[in-house]
Amino acid sequence: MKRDIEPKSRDHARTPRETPDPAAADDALLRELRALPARDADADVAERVRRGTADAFDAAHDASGSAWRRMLGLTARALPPLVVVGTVSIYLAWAVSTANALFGQ
Amino acid sequence: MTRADADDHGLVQGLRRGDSVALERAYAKYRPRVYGFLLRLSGRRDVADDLLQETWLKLARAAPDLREDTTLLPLLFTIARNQFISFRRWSVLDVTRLLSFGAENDDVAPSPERESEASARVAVLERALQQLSADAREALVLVAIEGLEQEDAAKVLGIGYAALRQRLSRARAELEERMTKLEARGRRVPAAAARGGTT
Repeated sequence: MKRDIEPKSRDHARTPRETPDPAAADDALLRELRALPARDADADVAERVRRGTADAFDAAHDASGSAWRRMLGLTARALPPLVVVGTVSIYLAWAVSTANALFGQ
Repeated sequence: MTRADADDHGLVQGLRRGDSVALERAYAKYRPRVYGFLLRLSGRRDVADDLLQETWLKLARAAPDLREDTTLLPLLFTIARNQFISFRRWSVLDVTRLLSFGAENDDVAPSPERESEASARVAVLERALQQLSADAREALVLVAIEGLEQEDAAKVLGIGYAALRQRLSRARAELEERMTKLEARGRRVPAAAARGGTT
C-alpha cells in the first residue's frame, strides 16, 4: 500500500541547476498558465467524497488500533515466505538424503 | 520551516493520529488543487469526480501509516496520477469507456455559452492544454498551473529532475504551437462567416 502511493524517482541524487530553467522563465505563456482559473468539484460531489473519506479514515484507524488485527496482519504477511522456505528446505533435505541413499558409499 | 510547512506537518501528525479535524482541514485545503489536476489530466468532469473520490479514499486508508516527513500535496498528486493511469489502462480494456474517453475530452474548456464570460484566450489555452500528450500535460499542470516545486513534480511523475525540465521545455513549445493553430483557426472562422454574410 505504502509502496504503491509513495512518490517514485529514479535519480533523486541528481539535481543539476546549471541549465536554464524552462518553467522559471517568466514568459507570458507561463504567466497565463499560472493565472488559469481554479477548478473545483461541484458541491454535492465534494460533500459525497468528504463523507466517504471520513468513513474510510475512521475505519482505517479502528483497524490499525486493534492489537488483534495488527497481529493477524503481521502473521498473514509473514506466512507465505515461511511456507516457501519450509517447502524448499524439506525438498532439499529429501533430495540430499535420497541421493546419498542411491549413490552414497 | 515555513508557516505552510509547519501547518502541513501538523496535518500529517493529525492524520497519523486519526484526528478527523486534520482530515477535514487537509480536504478543504487540497481538494480544489487535486480536482483541478485530475480535471485537466482527464478532460472530463465525471472521470475527475470518480478519481477524486479514489484519491482521497486511498489517502484516508493510508493515513495511519504515513511517514512523519510526508508532504501532503506531492503525495496527493502522486496518488491522483496513479489513479488516472490506472483508469486509462482499464479504459483500453473497456471499449465503451475507451470510446467515451476519446470522444469528448472537453469538459475543461468553457462551453460556448460560458465562453463569452471567460476570455477567449483562456478558452484557447485550456483547449490547447487538452490537446497536448498526457506526459506533457501533466508536467505543465503540476509545475506551471499548480505551482509545485520542480523536485516535487519530478518525484510525482517518477522521473529525474533533468528529465522533467526537458519535458517541460518540450511541453511549453508544443503548447505554444497548438495555441497558434487554434487562434489561427479562430480567426479564419469569423472571417469566413463575414464573407458568407456579405454574399
